[in-house]
Amino acid sequence: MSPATPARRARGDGRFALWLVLPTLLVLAAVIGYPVLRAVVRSLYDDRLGRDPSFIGLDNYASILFGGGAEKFWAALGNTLFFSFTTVVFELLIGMTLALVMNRAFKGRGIVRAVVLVPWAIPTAVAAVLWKWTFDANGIVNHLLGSQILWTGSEWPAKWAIVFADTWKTAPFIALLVLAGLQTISQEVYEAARVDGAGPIRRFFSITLPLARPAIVVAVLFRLLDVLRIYDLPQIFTNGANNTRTLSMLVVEESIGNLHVGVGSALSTLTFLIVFIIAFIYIRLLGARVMSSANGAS
Amino acid sequence: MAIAAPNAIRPRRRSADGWFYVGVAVLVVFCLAPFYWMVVSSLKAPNAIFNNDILPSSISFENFAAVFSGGNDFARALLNSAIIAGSTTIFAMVVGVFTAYALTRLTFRGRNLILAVILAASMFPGVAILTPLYELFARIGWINTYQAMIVPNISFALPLAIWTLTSFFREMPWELEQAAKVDGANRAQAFRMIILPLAAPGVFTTTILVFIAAWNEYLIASNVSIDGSTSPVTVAIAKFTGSSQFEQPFGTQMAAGVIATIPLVILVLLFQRRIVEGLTAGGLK
Amino acid sequence: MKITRILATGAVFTVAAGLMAGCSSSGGGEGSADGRGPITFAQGKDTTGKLQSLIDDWNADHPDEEVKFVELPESADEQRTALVQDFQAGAGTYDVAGLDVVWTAEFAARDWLVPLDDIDTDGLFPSTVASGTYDGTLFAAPYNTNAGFLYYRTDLVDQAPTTWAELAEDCEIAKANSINCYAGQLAQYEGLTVNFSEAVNSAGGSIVDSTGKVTLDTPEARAGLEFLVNGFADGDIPAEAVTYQEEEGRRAFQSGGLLFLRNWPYVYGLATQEGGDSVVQDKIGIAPIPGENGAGASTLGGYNLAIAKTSDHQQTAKDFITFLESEDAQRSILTDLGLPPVRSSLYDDSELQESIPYLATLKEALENAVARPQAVSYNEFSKTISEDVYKALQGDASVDETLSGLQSKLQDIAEGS
Repeated sequence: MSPATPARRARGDGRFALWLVLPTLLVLAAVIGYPVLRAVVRSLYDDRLGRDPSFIGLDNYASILFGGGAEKFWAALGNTLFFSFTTVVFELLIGMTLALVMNRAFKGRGIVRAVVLVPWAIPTAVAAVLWKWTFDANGIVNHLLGSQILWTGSEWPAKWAIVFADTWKTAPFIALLVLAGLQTISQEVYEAARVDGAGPIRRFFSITLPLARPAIVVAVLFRLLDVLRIYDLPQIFTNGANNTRTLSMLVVEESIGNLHVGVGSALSTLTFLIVFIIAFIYIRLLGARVMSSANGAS
Repeated sequence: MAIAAPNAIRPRRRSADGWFYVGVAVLVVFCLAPFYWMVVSSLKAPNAIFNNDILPSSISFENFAAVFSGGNDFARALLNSAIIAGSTTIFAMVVGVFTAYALTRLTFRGRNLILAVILAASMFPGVAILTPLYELFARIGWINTYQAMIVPNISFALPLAIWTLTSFFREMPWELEQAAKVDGANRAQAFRMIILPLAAPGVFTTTILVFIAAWNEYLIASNVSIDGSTSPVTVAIAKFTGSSQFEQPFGTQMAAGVIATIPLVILVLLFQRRIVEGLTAGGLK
Repeated sequence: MKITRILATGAVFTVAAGLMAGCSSSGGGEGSADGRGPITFAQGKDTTGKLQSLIDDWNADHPDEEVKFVELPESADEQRTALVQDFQAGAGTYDVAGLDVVWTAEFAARDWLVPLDDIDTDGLFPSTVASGTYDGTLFAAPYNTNAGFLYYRTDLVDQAPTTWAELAEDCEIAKANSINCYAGQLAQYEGLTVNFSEAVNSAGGSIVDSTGKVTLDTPEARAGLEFLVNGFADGDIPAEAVTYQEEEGRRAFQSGGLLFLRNWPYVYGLATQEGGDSVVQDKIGIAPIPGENGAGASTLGGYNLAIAKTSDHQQTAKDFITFLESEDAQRSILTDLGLPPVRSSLYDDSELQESIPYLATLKEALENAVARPQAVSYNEFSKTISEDVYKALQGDASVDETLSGLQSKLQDIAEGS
């Protein structure tokens, strides 16, 4: 291999990298970038019937944040944040447990792995309908508990039911990603620690957690992105009643329900900003390791 | 630095076994109980959907028959789902692997920016993308085609695939790639024969997750596959109806859900060994 | 740096494209008023499969003007989303579409529909024709209709109550038998708007008057809302009824837990079915819904047929609609599809009355049925109603607060659109 000057190698790298990265960027630009830009532009126009939309600047945003639409928006934001943080915490705990279990060698673990994935595999709409019937006032949950709780008819039972249903459905997602991360940890590291006298808890916190961290971080990050946009489950479960309306439901209500495309676009842009800020904080909190370069160095 | 090695079954203390299996049982019940309820509901007669019997007093396959009955074209929908999810997964994984490789192995300016942009693509509510995409597809004649669903699915899958693969590639022992190059392999060969096998758990996991996500996509599919010829399973299920617009075809929906989940479970059963065992021996030394 | 430059250029192009696209109004040609040829007909899925045979009959007679039947999702909301996406984009995928009766004003005001004044509506229920009319012009021709019944237990009451006072009296019977008295569709969704509208209309009031002005600040509207709210307060309506859509109510009634149920005709066939899980299978009676001082006014349901402005074969579409409204097709819609027809003469047919026991009651209900308000922003209208009424039902807002709140909010929506 002929030695190349650092500058030329970097440039060569750049062009090569471009070709590898370009397809991704093109697809994303076409499918997501284009609609999003259109939505952002459209959000600056109003929604009058009978004539072309006229430019109103940030009026839609003002009305959502401070004006007529504020009450609904802030309530939806609160609900979305509640759902997001609770489900992610529970999913992480359950998902990690599942991953640790699946990581051990025991009889039948292949089947257990497939079983664990069942909640994630069920189509979302079918699962939502299932939960709606399960939590019906005369459904199986009340039947088993011997209660008459109005799960879909009161605020906190509905919220917790939604949290439960979403956690159940998506804990396998985290479990699977964390499991893959656990595979990168060699047994020798554990053996060495055991020989050194470290108990299982110590091994978990000193070895497992740090080494599986990249997988955990990515899993939780994507779950966060997904749950901040949660729509199907609360929509089918309560139709937004009892203060369970989320940001995405508000977007759909305005864009498709009320055909206020300008307001709807502003809402989806705001949703994006909120998701972006939260993701940004999350990545920051975990340190810059996630975005660091790893060329040979670790 | 952690190096993946072939999984050896290590000796375990016997006393922990009992509790461990209890724990496994609890988790299995947790994952399966609602699915069990789904199966039981699907096995009840259509006019008995309201009862809460945990064990069905009489088993009826009417719901399953109804799923496949004439009007629903469910077999076709299963095929469509396979085509759409399969194509999405192949394209997304190939592109994702290349992109992740570039982002971890190559130095160039704007790396972090590109990662951030890719992540940002996952931050928009789906409905924001729907209308402009529908208009675009209508204009270029893509309504009722497979690509109208495959292309959006790929763009939904890419951020997850790239970020996951990037985080796995970053943990790879790249000295092995250098060693291979010294031995005469070029970059592509080194990647294929050394790195990829070590990244197998991450790659297979991502493949499964991408496939399942594509299989379950509904929003775009329901709006662009209008005449049913290319509708996937999720859209077909949404069209199930009872004897009137008000009757909820709960039994049929549950039966369809069971049928739609089975291919995915089989897929996982086939691939689950790959997730936990990197390819042994061979490429390492 | 090369990459950054390429990215920047790409970004500029995308922004430019976005700006151009965002500013232009969506396309969509005008279609052809005299055109004839194959057309696409879209409506919610038909499980019976019999609609296709009806269409096949048409296709056999009109080989050059074949109708292709496209099935939309089962839920009305999703049907609307599919139609809206297409009409907004001007994509012209559908020629004839089945519209829920409440969508007429919304779609017509957005100039998505072809006026249908040359379609003959003689012999159809006037209320159904009115539901398809916007601003004096027919935009959606009646296709099938629906009205609510009061289902009651024949083993516990001899005669159905005709007024709310009688209903309240009969609730003593329910208490004596340890079952709940009355329920309707009271969860927060369109069904609540239907039930609320029924209550107000059955008290002699209306949500909007004939000029479109909101009229909820009236003693009649008050009486209507109080019927529902007091029902909960007195325990005549069980607390769990706030989770009831159509199916949940059917479940409660079929399992013997309700004395009276307000629901659509579809329940009859299912609840009287032998061998099912209905414990009241042979104890079900049907009657028109009660009102404050006499018979009540059910809310009108059903679907109409409209032609998309973008259609190139509008003449064929009109003929097809006329075909679906013809007596033979309407008869088939009743007997094969199980949907209430819009042609009133069919309800007097003795043969049909024999095979369908509720036909006479249905006719009575339809003749007195009142449609929901024709609002251009109907979705917003209905959502506001169902949200505020739901709060009142749960006791979180008083009747007065709710009604005056609705009065101003709905008036704003009606004027603002």
